[in-house]
Amino acid sequence: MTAASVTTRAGALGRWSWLRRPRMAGSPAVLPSMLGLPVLIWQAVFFAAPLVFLVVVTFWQVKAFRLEPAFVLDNWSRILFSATFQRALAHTFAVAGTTTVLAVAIAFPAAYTIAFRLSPRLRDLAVAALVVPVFSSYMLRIYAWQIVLSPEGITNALLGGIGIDPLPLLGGAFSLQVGLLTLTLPIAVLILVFAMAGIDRTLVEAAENLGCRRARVVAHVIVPSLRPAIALTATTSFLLAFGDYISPLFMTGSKPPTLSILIVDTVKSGSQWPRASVIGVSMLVMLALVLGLGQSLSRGRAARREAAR
Amino acid sequence: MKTPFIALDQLDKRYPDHHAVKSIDLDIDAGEFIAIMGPSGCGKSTTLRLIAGLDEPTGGEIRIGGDSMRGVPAFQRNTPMVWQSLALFPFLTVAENVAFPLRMQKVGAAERRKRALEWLDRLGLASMAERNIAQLSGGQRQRVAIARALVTEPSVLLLDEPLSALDAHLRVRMQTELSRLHRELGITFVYVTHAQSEAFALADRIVIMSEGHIQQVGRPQDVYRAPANAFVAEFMGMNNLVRGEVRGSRDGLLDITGAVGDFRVPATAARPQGSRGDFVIAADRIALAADGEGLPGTVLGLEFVGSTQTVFVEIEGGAEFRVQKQQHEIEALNLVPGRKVKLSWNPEHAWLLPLPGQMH
Amino acid sequence: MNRVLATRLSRLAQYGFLSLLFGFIATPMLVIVVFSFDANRFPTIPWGGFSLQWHRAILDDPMIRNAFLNSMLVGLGTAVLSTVLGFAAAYIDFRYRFRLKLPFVLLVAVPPAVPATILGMAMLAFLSRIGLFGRLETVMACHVAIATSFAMAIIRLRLNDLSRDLEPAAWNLGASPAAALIHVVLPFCKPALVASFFLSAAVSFDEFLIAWFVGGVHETLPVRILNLLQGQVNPKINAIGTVVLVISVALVLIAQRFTGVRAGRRPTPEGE
Repeated sequence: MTAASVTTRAGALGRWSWLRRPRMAGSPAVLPSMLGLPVLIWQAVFFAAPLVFLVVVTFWQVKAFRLEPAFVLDNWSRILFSATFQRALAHTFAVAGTTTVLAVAIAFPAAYTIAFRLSPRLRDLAVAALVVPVFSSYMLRIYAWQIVLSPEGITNALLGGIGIDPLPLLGGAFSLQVGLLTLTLPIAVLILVFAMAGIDRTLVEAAENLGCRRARVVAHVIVPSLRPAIALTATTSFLLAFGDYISPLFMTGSKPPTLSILIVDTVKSGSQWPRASVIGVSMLVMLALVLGLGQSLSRGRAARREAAR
Repeated sequence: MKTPFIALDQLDKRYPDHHAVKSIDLDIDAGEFIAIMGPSGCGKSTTLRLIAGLDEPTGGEIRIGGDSMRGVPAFQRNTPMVWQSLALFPFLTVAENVAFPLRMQKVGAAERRKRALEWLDRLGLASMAERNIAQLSGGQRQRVAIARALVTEPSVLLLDEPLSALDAHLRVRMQTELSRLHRELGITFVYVTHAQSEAFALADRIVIMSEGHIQQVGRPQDVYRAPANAFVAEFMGMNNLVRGEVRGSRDGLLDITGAVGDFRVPATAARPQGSRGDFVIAADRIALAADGEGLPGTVLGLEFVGSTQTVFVEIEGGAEFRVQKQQHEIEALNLVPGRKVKLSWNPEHAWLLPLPGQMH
Repeated sequence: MNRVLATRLSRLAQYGFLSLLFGFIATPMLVIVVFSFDANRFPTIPWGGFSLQWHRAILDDPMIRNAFLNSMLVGLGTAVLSTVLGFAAAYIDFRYRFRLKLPFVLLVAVPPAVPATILGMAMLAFLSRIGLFGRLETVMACHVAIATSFAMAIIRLRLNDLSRDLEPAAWNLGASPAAALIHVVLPFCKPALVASFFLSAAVSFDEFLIAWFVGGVHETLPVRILNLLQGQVNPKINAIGTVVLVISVALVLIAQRFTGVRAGRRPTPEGE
């Protein structure tokens, strides 16, 4: 083995660089290159290139059901000025915004109870129970809500049992939010639990000893120190709800369509790839803006504190 | 003159944010026990890492056994180190930890286990071979780290503040152990520490570093009695520094006038009248008396240092002296804060600091 | 007295609220499992009696069997590759500094944040042009691009606990950087590697949109379910659902068992 990096972490700090000539015998860049290149190539081919291509396609044309390279702005103008797109955009924003507010409002008290009221054992259990739905079977759980909420479904059968007429639970804003909260709540609670568990308990106890009532402790100690976590919870919930395809499809029957539904419909109907790409790229731009907003909201106070030092 | 075993030649290490080692020269003989001392951030640990090849010098050269180490990566140097954090592998057993360097040398499994067990036995850990690191006490871990470093039978052992995590009792026992190992193995030990007691107890020679420079190299007693400059005198702690000016010389002694009085100091070098005459007098060389001849002062307070006490005395004129005394002497003189005393010492015991740039 | 009562009521309300939340999360899972054993064709109350007919029916359905096999292959491949790539990415982030590190890390970390509809469409558009459409390997490759993010996160967290001196100590004792990686860093990361293996498998096993876009005729199990769902009410769905649910929950639970991340417990700097 002659090819080797003998830099340490401290030593590597300022000096190690892929762009600079190695000074030691052999090349210190061999090992990191061997590790890094496969990752780089994989993510470039299967993640970055498709997204770049998506942007490129927005300027292409479809002729006789075939996608052809071109440089036209027609796709952009047609989509951005179409009433269908604008309605779907407004609808999607309204839906995702509602989900975000609901998710934070529900997750906060739940996370508070988990972080401050449960024993460590129960807390671990609660965290485990929340991690499972984040990584499993979202589509199935939406299907299950369909069974529960459908006109002849479980809820209405139960209600009928006590003499209440069937309610139109499925196919509206209510069922859509049930679906989106199924998607967002577990992760929202998790983010807040981890953030709250990181709060210095002595701070909370000090505030209580100073005569703060619990509600005021929450308002003056816990919420301010959780600002970044709340912003993260909100942006994560928004991101998930904004891009979701399954809940709108199964909980409202795609009516009215969200942007994700619109994308799939546009692709399906007449291979309108460029227009579907325009919707996709627009969504990504909007998500980036929302993430940026979330970042600045979470930084707000921290940045000011930093500047004061 | 024989060639040194380890030679640092204009060795320099610059980090983006600070200059850690500033063109130092140092020769270490084969079989020597050398201690590098200094306050934290003085460059002593960086020097050790440079010898081990864990950091790359930005200037100068290191030669080990006459061979330049330029371009030789750490894993080909065979300069094992005992780390302050010990850096034992938590996922390996005690025996596997000790056998690790042999495994890296592609020694067969049976052979490396045999040699690992021999070393564990030698350090009194034979019964611990199959334990996990987490099951060992601090002192036992220390021995595992030493065994692991020595298992390849290197010709040099580097130690980076190895005893700093141990309590005082264990520290003394490990010092004895290290001393014994050094005697038995006859290899070179390079020992970095900030603890004077360890360096004095163990080392043949001491290197004092400060701000990336070597301030003095010498036998422990020389560094203590004959510091090369004010930094070393102050770093040694028990020396009192008196600033003064040379007035003349007679009988091999210089007459020096300082802010608090006139003194006589052995003339180690010719020094013209009017030049600087700073000198030090060790705290344990000063006599205290209730009256008689001497420098008048007032006891400020006392502080226990082991079995002796340090008496802080304020001299008229503002200077503060440290004097080391046994408990019974303190009681005999009734040294309580506020008590007036006279300080005196044999002029032969004072040490004139060399002028800057003037080496001994 | 009043204060004590108020505290009790407040606690009761908090626990009640939490129970409702977990009820909301658990209900759909329970519904799937319970009704998979229901003899009725349409899942509703009253329960039509215990039956294994739908579970038997899925065993006899060649499309479902085939989809299950596909899911297993894609999941296994994703688990192996994501863990390997995730380890490489995490180690590079941990050990080296270089100018384009942030873009590199983002390239690995970001994919799960892109809505699957858009990503699936983009992957389909691009990969079909380079002739990779409609292959099981392509589904796996796309899943790897997403799951590596989670693998990197888990392994990077573990590397935070690796004592700064451990690797240099290995070099010092004669291990080349590559040997130190294999003999020191890898064994240290073992729990995280196991966790990332199972979590990557779970991510792949649960993913349906991208698999649906790029898989063509090669359906994975979730894609089969998606296609079934878009047709008539099919009582087999609950039975497949139960199988999928059990597998993915098991994968996530195993992964969790090995991450060692718990709310309120900070990883210790010295590791074990």
